[in-house]
Amino acid sequence: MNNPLGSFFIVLGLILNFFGCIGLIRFPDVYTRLQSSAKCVMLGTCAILLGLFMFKGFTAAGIKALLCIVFIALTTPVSVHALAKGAFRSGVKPWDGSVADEYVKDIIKKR
Amino acid sequence: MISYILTYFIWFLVWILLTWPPTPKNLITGLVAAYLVSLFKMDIFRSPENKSRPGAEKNKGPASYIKKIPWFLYYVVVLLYECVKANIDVAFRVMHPDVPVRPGTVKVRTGLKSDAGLTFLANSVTLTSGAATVDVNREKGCLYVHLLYIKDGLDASAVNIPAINKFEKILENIFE
Amino acid sequence: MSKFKRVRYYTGILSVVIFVAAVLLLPLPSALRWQSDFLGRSLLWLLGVLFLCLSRILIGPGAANRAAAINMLGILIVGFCAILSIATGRDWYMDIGIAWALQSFIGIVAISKYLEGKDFDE
Repeated sequence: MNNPLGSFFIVLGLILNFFGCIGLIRFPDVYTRLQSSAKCVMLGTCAILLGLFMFKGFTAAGIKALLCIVFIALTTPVSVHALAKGAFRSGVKPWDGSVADEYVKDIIKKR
Repeated sequence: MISYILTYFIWFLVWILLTWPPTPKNLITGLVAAYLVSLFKMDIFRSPENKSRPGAEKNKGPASYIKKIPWFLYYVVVLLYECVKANIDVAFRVMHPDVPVRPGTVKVRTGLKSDAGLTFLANSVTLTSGAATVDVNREKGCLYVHLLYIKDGLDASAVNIPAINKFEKILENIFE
Repeated sequence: MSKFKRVRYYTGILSVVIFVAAVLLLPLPSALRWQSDFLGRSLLWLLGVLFLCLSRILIGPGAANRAAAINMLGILIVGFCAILSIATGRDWYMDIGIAWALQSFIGIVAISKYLEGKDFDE
């Protein structure tokens, strides 16, 4: 391809997305799945959008890609801990091999 | 007043970036639209709790904002570095034959008090180093953090993680 | 590690290798043949990743797993839109991407609020 830096970022993003979704399948319970997928898929999609910016430069699509990077980097952690809190409150039990669960202890203590 | 002007310019900047080739038609529409939005969202940069807190007044003025910019750039660099490190860690754990995880939720004490500081701390903890914030307890001043791998003999009610301490030290300079 | 787990692990590795080889070596369909092969093959790769996500939506026990997978699906589709925007040269694919990210974020927050409303019982 005629733009080596942009191609490099796109390939990096594709590989990170793949690792994130493998984590979504292999990890044992909801919370670990949320962690792996949030980290890897967030950075992977940001890398793909950065590759688009390298390809297009300062055109309409490139600027929108930069805005989208900021938006995704701000909202993905928020949705992840909204989901984790909702799963804990709705009674999804952690995995049997988990070591400590302070949060469940505190919720039960409150009620 | 300064909050109002800042809000107006930020919405105007977002409008320009969204409709990128800045022709006069787009710019005039943007002036009107940013004015209408900032009528509703005037108080986005000041929260009522922070005003009553002692020590909040001395951070006023444009000089303090300018002083925060290098700290913010340093924060972004540290965040990117930790994020890449966490991604390599997760990729290693995913491809290992028996998935080496020992998950669990622990408590992490924090000294931050302001809204924006706590939000940024929780978000950056979620993006880095095998941890995700679940909830914030504001009275006790602690975060409930879900860790991917807990080492042996770690006290679960008060955990010290070097990455989180680094972020806390930077965010204290920005938001407190 | 038990024998069953080992067999499952090697099957997984084999299927990953077959997937990578198929994406890299198979002749592209005529719909994906743009000015270079790279973008068409990366689009195929993303399609495979999307199917991994969809399988978690199918098998995941309970609502929380499915919501987590849907969250990831929403972010992956933004990347899909970005690659389509490079390949076809149309700028409005990024408009679709931004709108999709916003809608998926609002939807996920609403779903997690709904999950939170239920009671925590042992």
